[in-house]
Amino acid sequence: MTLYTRRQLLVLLLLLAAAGLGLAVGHWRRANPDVVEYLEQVDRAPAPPAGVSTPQPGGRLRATRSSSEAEPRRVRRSRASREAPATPAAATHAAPPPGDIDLNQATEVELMCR
Amino acid sequence: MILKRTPLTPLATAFGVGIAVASLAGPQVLWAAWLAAVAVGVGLLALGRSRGAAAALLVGVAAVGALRGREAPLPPDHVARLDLPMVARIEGRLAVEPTRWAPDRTRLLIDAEQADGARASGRIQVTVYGVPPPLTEGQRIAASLKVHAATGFRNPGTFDYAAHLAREGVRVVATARAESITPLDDPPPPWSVRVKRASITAMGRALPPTSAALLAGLLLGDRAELPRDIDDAFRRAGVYHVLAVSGFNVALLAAAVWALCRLARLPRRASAATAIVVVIGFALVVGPSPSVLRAVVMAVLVLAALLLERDASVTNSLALAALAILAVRPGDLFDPGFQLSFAATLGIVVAPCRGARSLARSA
Repeated sequence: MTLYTRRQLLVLLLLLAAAGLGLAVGHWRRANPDVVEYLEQVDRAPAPPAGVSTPQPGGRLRATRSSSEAEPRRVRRSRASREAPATPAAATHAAPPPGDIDLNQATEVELMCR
Repeated sequence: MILKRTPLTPLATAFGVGIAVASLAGPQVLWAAWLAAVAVGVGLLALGRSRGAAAALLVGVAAVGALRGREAPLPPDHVARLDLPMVARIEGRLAVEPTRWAPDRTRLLIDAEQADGARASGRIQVTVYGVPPPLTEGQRIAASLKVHAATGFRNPGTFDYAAHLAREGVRVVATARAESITPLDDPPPPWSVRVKRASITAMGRALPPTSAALLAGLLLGDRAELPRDIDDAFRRAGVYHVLAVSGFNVALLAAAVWALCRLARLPRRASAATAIVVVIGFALVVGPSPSVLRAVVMAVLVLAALLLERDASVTNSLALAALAILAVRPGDLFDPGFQLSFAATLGIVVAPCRGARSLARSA
């Protein structure tokens, strides 16, 4: 008579393996913060030069992203929360900075202002 | 066999033992133990030797507990790595609602973001002298702080304040004048803080000041407005724990909500679901002390068993509560609040069963 059935043991061993792997990843991330930062940026293209972007088929325009593209995700997230406007409505209707309009997504008013 | 009915008890015990002995072995040994335990466990399971596989599983759980309990290396920009003691301009975010200890003394917990203009991380406990501007949890502030490493009295065998703070994630403490604190933004308080403030305001309106302060302590654990003499009287009488929110409050709340829902002729499942939501909300409002977390996990498990129409094992719930709390905050194993809460509950659960059995034998 054992404590656990075979199925329970299998599930528990899988959970144990997953927990250990998670801990290993966490330890590695803490031990190598520079590599982690590099890896978090590696799929981020450098910010393109400012200006009206041209449409590209099959995807959103990268030119509409800000220069914070090169920052690590954590930094961007904290900055975004810090700089978030008081009301969501204000954010929706805020005028974009000149020369940084997404032609695919800009409203008629924004295009007229240009 | 009692362990057969409480399969989580061995796991929780192994995890706790692992945390307790974490300092006795190096990380390489622990990683090797974990890997070997998984490999041996899977191998024995494949060979049909369940007993050996269960032993390997428990060894592996202890290894994971020890790895979780080991002190993580501080990041390079942690405030504890600064040249302490020093005076620094710190910018950061308030991790919790400020606590007022006395009319002219407030305690803040700041998650540092910048120290003298450079990027920084780590939590600082700040004692503010004077009356600071209105502050709330999540608010960004800047302040000129006298920062130093957390220390305590060095008398052997006494309470180690520095270790206690380290378990809370605080390695650096600081003092500041209230005038030096500048709010950098003005976010609305989280809903849990708003509920707590509204409750205290409502008590203040309905009751005389001392009674309201006492009720706030009894129900929400907020003793900020309690007069000093009343506070001292509770300490001298040895009943100060009455003013702390504990599992008793959670049990009363869960039972009251359940009873009200049943009186209102709600079905069992709806009553259980309502009680779960209320109990979790209460924990978010009063804060995550070990006894509250323990009681909330246990209450949620018992109510979830009602929801799913399954039998609930209180001992198993207790083991899962311990496992969950230690997985998130392994340092709580050495916290007297955690130890007393679990030991007392285990005594309440186990002792009556043993007593009933011995009575049955003697009859």
